[in-house]
Amino acid sequence: MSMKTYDLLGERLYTYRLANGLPVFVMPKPGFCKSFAFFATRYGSVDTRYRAGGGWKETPAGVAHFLEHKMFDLPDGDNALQQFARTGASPNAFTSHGMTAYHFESVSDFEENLRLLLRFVSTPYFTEESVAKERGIIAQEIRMIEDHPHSQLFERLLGALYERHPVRVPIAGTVDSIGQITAGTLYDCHASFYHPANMCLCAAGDLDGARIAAIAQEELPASRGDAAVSDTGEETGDAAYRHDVSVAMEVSRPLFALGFVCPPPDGGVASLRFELLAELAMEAIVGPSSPLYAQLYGEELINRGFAHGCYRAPGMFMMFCMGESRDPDRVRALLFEEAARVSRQGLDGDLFARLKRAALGARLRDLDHPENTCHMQADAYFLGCDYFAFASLFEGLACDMAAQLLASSLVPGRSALSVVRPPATP
Amino acid sequence: MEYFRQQLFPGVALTSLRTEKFKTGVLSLSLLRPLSRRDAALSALTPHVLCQGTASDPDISALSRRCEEMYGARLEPSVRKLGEIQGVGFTVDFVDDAFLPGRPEQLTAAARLLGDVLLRPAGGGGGFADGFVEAERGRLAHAIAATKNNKATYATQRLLECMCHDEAYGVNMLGDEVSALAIEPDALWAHYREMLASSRVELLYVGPQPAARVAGALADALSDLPRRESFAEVGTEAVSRAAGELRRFEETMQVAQGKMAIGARTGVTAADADYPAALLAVEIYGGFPASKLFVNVRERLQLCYYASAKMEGFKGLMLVSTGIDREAGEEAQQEIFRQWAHVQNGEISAEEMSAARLSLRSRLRVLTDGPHSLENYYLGQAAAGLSMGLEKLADKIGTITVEQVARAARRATWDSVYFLGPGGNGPCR
Repeated sequence: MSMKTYDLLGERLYTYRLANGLPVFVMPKPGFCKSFAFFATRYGSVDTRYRAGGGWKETPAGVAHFLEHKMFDLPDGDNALQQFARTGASPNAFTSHGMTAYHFESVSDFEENLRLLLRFVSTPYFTEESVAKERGIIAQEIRMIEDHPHSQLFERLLGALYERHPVRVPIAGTVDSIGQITAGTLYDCHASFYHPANMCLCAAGDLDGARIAAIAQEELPASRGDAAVSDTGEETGDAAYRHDVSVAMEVSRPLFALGFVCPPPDGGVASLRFELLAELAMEAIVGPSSPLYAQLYGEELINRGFAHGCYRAPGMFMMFCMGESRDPDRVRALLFEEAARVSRQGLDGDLFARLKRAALGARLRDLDHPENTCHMQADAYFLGCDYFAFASLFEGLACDMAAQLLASSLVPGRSALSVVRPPATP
Repeated sequence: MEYFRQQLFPGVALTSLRTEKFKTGVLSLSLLRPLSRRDAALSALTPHVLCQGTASDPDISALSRRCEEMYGARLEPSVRKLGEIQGVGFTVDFVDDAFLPGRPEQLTAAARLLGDVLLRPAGGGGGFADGFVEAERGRLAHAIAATKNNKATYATQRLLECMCHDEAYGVNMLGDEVSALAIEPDALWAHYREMLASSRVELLYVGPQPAARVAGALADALSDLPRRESFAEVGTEAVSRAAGELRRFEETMQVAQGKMAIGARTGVTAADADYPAALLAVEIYGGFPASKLFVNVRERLQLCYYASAKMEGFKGLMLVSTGIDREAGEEAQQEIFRQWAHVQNGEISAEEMSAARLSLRSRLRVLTDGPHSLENYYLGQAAAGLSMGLEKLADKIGTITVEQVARAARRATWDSVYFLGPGGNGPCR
C-alpha cells in the first residue's frame, strides 16, 4: 500500500496493488453520507480490432457497449440492477471510446454492494436468447441517440475529423452492426479485456481502504490474464479527413461543433500536462474574458451555452468549441483570424496567468464530486499517472507553449465544422 | 451540518448551511415573483441582462476577468420554477479560502460580486447599458425555442403547459418567445426597479464559513437594496381534479422515437402530512430500477425504452415519462395505469416496499453530499415557507407503512396524456 498526500488539494490517495495486477485507489471523503465505487476496464468502443491468443480479431462496432448492457445479467436468472436496488444503492454503467465503467453509489451496505459490483463484472453470462432480446433494447437506444442533436453533432464531428480511427463510429454502433453480435462475441471480448491487469477499482467516501483491497482480493480471479492489444489504426492527427458536415434535425436554430485534430500525446503525465495546456489554450483564445469571445457574443454569434475544451481517446486528441449560432461559418472564420493573430503576436501573459488560476479553481471545485474524481483517476491510471498530479503541473505551463499550440492546431487543414441545422421551411 | 435562518432586512432572509465537507462555497440570491404569463419573460430576462456587466465591470469580458481573478468563481444567472413561484437571481460558486494560496477572502468577494451584479448595473443608473437588453432578449427567445432540442424535457414541459393551461403552473418559467422579443429597455428597467423593491428575497449559503460571517458579508454587499413596506405575495395553489375523463394532447414532430408524458394530480403537496407517503408511492411506482414501471413496462413487456415517474411536490403532481413507439402507446398506457392501480390497492410486496424505501432515503441523503443540491433543496423549502430538513424527511420515509402508501396514492387522479411523435394530429389546443 502507498499513501500520497496532496496538500495543495487537501486530498489523500491510497493505492493498493493486488497480486493479480489490479490497482485499487481509495480517496477518503470524510463527512460524506454516500460512498462511491467505480470499477473500470481499459476497453471502449474504439477497441474493435485487437490481438489476442496469437491472432488479430475484428469485432462489430458497438460490442463494448453491448457487453456493458449484458454484464448485469446473473447466471441465476437475476439481474444485478435489481440486487443493488435491494439495498437502496444506485448502480450505473457507461461505455466511452476508451473505457467501460460500472459504478454504484450507496449510503449503506457498502461492502455488500462492492462485492456485488466485483462479482457481476467478472462473471460473464450470456445466452443467444438474452442477446437477441438486448438487440431490441439497444436498437431503441440507438434511435434515441439519433434524436439527440448534441450527440449527432459530436459523433459527426469525429466522423469528419478522422478517416479511419474507430472513434468515428458511434459508441453504441449501428442497428446493422449490433445485429452481428452473438453470445460468442461477448464471451470473447470479456475474456480478452475484463481481467484484473487491464482494469482498476476506485472508491471514494468515508471508507477503509485496506478493507476494500481485501474484498477485491477475495472476489476477483487470482490470475492476471493476458491483456489484448488493440489497434486503432495509423492516424497522425496532422490533417482532418473532411472539413464540413451537416445534417437537418428538429432543432430551433443551428448547432455547431468546430474541432481540430492534434497529434496524440505520448501517455503518462505528459498526456495530462498536454490536456491542461490545450484547455488553457482554448480558454485563452475563446474563453469568456478573451477578445474573440467579446466579439462573438457582441455580434450575437454565440450565447451562454458556448463551450470549448479538448477531447481524447486512445490514439486521438482534438480541441473543439461548440454552441448554437445563427452563422457557424462566421464563427469559424473569426476563430481562424484570431488564431493567425495569436500566431503572429502571441498571447497576453496576464490573461494566461489569470486563466491558470481559474483552471486550478475549477478543478478544485470539481473535487467536491467524488464520482467525477473516481472517473478521472481511472482515466489517468489508464494513461499512466495519478489524477491529483494535475495540481503540480500548472506551474510548468507557459504562455508561449499555449500560443504555439494554437498556432499549429487552429488551422484550416486540421479542422472540421459539424452543423445540425433546422429543417428547411417548406 | 448546521442550519441557520435569519432575516437580514425586511423581506430578505438568509438560510446558511454550514458544513466542512466541501471545498466549494455556494452563495445564491433569488427574488421571488408570482409566476405569471404577463411577467415571466420580463423577470427571466432581468438576471441575464444584469450578468452582462456592472458599473465597475462594464462588459462581459470585465466581469469574466473578475471571476477568473477569484480562482475561477462561477457567476450564473438563475431562473427557477418553484411551484407557481418564479425564483430569479444569481448563483456564485467559488473555492473556499482554506484551499487557496494566501487564503484570499473569497466569501466577501463573492458577496460583493452578487451585490454589484444585482444593484449596480452597467449603464450609469438611469437604465441598462445600450444594447444589453436587445441582445439578451434575442438569446432568451432562442433559449425558449431550444427546449424542443431535448425531446424528453420538451414532452414533459408541453404536458404541463397543456394540463395546467388555466393555472399559473402552466406558464413557462422563461416566458414565451413573443413576449421575450417584445421587451423594450425602458419597460425592463421599470420592471427591474419594481422587482428590487417589492420582491421577497431568499439568500442561500452552503459551505464551511460560519453563518455570522455570511450574514455580515451579505448585509454589507446588499445594504443599498431598496425595500418597501410590503412585498409581492407568492404561493402555489394545489388543484384537485375529480376522477373523470382523461384529457389527450398530441403533437407531431419528426423523431425516431416517440415520447409519451402522463400527468396526475396527487392531491398532496410538500406541506401535507401525507407527503412522505406520497413520495414513497411514486418511488415504488416509477422512481428506480426495481420500480413497477421499470420492471413491468420496460423489462417484462418491453413496451418502451424507458418509463419513470416523479413527484412535483410544490404543486402536487405526478409525471410519468416514457420513450415509446406510437403502435405501443395504447398498450403501454393501459399498463402504466394498471401498475398505479396496484399501488393504490396496496398490492406492494415486502421487497418492493423495502427497496423503494432504501432507494428514496438514499436519494434524499445523497442530496446532502452536493453543495448545489443542498442549495436547491433548501431554497425550495424557503420559498414554500417550509423547513423540513432532508435528514428528517429521510427518517419519516423509514416509518411509512404499505397502508399509508396506498392511502396517499388513492388521493391521486389521472389528468392528461401527451404524445409527441411522427404523424400525430397537430399541436394541442
